[in-house]
Amino acid sequence: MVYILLVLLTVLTIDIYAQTSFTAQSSASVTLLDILRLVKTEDMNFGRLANGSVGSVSLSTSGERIVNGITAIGESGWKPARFDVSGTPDYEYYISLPNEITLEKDGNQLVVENLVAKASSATENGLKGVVTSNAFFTVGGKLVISSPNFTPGNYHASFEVSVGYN
Amino acid sequence: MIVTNHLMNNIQRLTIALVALTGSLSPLIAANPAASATIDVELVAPLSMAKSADMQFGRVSMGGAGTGILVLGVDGSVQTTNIYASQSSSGATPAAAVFSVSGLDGANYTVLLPSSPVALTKVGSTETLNVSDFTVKLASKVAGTLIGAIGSDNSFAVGATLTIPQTQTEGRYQGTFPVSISYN
Repeated sequence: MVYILLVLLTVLTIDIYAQTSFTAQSSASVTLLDILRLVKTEDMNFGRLANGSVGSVSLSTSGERIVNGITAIGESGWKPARFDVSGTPDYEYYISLPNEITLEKDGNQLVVENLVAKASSATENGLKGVVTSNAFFTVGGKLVISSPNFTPGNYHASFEVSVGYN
Repeated sequence: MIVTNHLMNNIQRLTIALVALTGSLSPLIAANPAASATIDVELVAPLSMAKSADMQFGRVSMGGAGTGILVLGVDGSVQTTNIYASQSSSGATPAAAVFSVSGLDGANYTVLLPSSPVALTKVGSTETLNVSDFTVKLASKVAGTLIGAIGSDNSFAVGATLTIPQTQTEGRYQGTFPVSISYN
């Protein structure tokens, strides 16, 4: 009786041991995307404006400069920022923009607000694009001149944008 | 006990495998790329303009049979038709109007002159004379050029043509005319 029990135990043990050697197979997949890359190719410039009045200047993503209450000077010299995007073709990416940017000179501050982007793959402004062989997006905004007494001169700032796969 | 050990071994293997899997994926989860751009705007001094001299056609008398015409050049010269112009009338020497301009050095501006006749009204009356065909001469440009540059064209002169019907009554006629400039 005792012997039989031992045999059973042995069998049982072997049986369990055999289970631990089972190999289960399942499929796994992963899609490796090219690293998304972002390169600035154009800085943003509102050009030359006459001070002495209050108003705003909007720079569209297509490059138009629209003044409201301000005298804009010159027939060129303004441009939206431009960033080139590369990665895996046909994948959608999103664009992150700052809420506003403060330009400064000698303690005087001008604010650029309502930042907008337009991807080369899009037909209107938005924060999404699709990676293509020559993908890029442009960034415009609205410069607010809140006082007629700002010191003349160059007002400057830098700003950061980022992108990521959707 | 053996069962427990095997189970633990498997858990350990699984854990190691998970760690290895995680470790191998880490480089693929790169931070979202960012890029910086600069943003610039140049605020410049506004244009300003002041009148330095008024326009003066001088003192004239009618002569001849037709309508009198007096062309006042941008240099103050006078050309007349059917009019006798007094050569030296005290206080009424013919002169072009002169305006001074200031603003951003080097910036271009455009002069805008009246495009339709301006009326001069007889002092103490309501009779009028027309002044038309305004002309301009920027300091460094040839007459007729309407675009100047701050720095080289800080003043400009304006002439015009006065038309006097033969039946016009004598008297002193006065009026004002607008001139404006704008940055290009």
